[in-house]
Amino acid sequence: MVRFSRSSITVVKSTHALRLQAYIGHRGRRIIGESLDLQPHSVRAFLQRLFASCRTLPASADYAALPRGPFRYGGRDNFDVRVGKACDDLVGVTGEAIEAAEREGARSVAGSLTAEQRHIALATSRGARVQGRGTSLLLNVRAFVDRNSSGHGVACSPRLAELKAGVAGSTAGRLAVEARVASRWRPGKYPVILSPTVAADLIQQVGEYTSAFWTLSGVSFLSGLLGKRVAADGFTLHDVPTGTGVFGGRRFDDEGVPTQTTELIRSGRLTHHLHNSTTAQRAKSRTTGNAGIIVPRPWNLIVDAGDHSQTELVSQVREGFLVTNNWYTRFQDLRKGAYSTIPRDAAFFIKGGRIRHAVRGLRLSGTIPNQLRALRAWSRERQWIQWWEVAIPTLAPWCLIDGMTLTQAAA
Amino acid sequence: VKASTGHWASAERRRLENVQLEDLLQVLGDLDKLIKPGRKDVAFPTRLLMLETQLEEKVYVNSDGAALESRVPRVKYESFVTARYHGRTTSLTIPPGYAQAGESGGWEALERLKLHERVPEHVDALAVVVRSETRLSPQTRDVVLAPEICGLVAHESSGHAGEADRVLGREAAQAGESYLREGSLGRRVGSAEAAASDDPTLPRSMGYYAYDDEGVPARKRQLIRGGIITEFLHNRATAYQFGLSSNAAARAVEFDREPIVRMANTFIEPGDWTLHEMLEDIHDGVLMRSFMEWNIDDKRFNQRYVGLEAFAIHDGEVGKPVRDPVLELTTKLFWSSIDARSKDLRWTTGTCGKGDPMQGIPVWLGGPYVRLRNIHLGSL
Repeated sequence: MVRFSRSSITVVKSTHALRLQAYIGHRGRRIIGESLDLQPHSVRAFLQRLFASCRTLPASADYAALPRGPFRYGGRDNFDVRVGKACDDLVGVTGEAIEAAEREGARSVAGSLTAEQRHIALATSRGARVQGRGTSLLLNVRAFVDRNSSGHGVACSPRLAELKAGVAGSTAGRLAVEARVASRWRPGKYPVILSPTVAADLIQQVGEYTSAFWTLSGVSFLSGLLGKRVAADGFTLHDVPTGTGVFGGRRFDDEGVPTQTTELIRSGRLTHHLHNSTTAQRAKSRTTGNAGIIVPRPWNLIVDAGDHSQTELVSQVREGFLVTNNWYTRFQDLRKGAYSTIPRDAAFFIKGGRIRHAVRGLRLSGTIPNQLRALRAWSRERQWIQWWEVAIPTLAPWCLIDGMTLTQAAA
Repeated sequence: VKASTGHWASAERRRLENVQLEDLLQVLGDLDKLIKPGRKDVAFPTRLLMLETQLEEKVYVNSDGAALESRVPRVKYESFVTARYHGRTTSLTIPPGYAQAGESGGWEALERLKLHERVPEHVDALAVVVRSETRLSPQTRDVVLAPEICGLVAHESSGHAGEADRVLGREAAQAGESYLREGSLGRRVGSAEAAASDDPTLPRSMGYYAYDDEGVPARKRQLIRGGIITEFLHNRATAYQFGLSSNAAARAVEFDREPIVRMANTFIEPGDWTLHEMLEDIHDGVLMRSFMEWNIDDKRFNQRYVGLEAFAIHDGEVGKPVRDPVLELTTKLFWSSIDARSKDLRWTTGTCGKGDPMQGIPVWLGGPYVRLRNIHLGSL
């Protein structure tokens, strides 16, 4: 990892971790453990402790045996050998991003570039045997013209040659310049255009809470809505584990089951939850290859492309806003999906279909189900997003949502 | 900085290594029995209870000659529940606000947490919340915030804002910067009643340490006193840039993470009022005891707290519960509006996020009751 601020590199970090994760299911009891000490005698002691602890647990009514293998695994790992050897290249890539932002007018640039190489070997007592590997590069650039005018750019890729560092830098720099002259605005309900970065944050909440662990427990805003309308007509969302053009992902889940593409929302209707074998048994369904032993989770979320350009979305807004980045999404009531989030970096007021001026100090709030249903349009252009606020790799479009609540802090 | 050597530890009677998994399960089972029956017509159908023991052992050496060994055991509890009332389900946490109840120490720390008293109190309170239908119209009111909210405000808008690495821009890309600048020491940001500190030396606290992760002896830091910014949190690098000595705020969550500027136990300093005295001259106000949703911008200036357990105040008396009041205000307005602080000082436990890779670190957040005058209070 290379971190930079004030246009200079502040730290370069390199870490190597080897972990053993073990899951034991025994007579209806389940336990998971992790050890960083892989010496044979330590591993034996670790497993003995884990098994002894497992025997003390009460049997679970939800217990399901691991799926029986062997399995055939399709797809290909997203792996670039250059990523693991790219220390010098990484410094150069950050320089490219900083220079691109400065060419646009940024006076100070901050960010981080993370290069990760993963190797996973998995074996189960039910016959699964598989290895996988992956690489990822995450670049996050924040450019400043002054302390109040900033822009943000993101670039994600599994391959070094495909990382668009200059684009992320120039996007951040251009937005910082455009955010320089801000005017007042009035709180209220407005149509709001969310950049792919902001849309990805909301979509990852949808992806996370389609997990059957959360829907079956009644905690999720998607509980009890299978087969029902949860988003606007035409909005389709998939979880895609691998494939051409997919950013992250895995060919097998934590139970050794081959991963698969799962349709979550089809034309506005919630069609599937994400399952492991335990949640699938409880729901009288089948695993979708999304284990997490305890909590099923998505691999990569992909929103089907819309049929507008970003410019066309702006032209559809009589009076509203465009936000380019956000952070600190928190829920008042997860069951309702009631939340607020804070736009950061460049945000703009739109009137008569044109961006008029920058704005500051916004807060977006509402409920995610209502906002998904209020999606008026979304763009053909989509961007892979993963950064500090968006943990699940998400291919997100620009989204135009009607009636979003914007509030402002009393001063 | 003089090189420090030796051993330091949190006091503990029963070592966590000697606690069996059955012990944890027994506690959780007992606590679940206190939640599961519900209250009158409010059911709690989903309950996810978590009890965690942690043992942090460090060996620290540096080229200045520091050689330190330390041991900090910690125990913490948190839970997620759903409450169902008349067919309406609400997702909640115990303690509220996605918080935890925790202390450093051995297994006896669990007894000090008094979960068998506190959890049913929370359940009683949540049952009141979900039955409540009354929403207040948005308007300017006097607001009294309980320690559970004040601790979070202190953490978010005083502690984070006073981290010197943010002030210097080092965290700009992700965690953000600060509304404070290098020249903000001595600047007025609040009323004479505004006072906040961070203190890693509190025994039993989640953020307890005797030396930081750069070998510097820990001490209390007074961040705001009498409404004036008096000190930032420093590690060695930021202190050098300010021409100061480190005040021991460097922490790292693992051996392979860099020590960065962190809080330990951040709080609004208690005052000399009783809660009764603070309430008695309020004609029309709201008492917010807890929250669920909160956030703050990355300069730590624009913040919001949505009340969970909240009650109307009329002519000095605490009255009916009110749903989802929204306190959304700037940091300066918050600290400037304080006109009274109670003698109480209570703590909640949280995990503070910062750094890249993320370093979630245990902290306490604390405060007294605080009264804010003439604050705009909205509603969801």
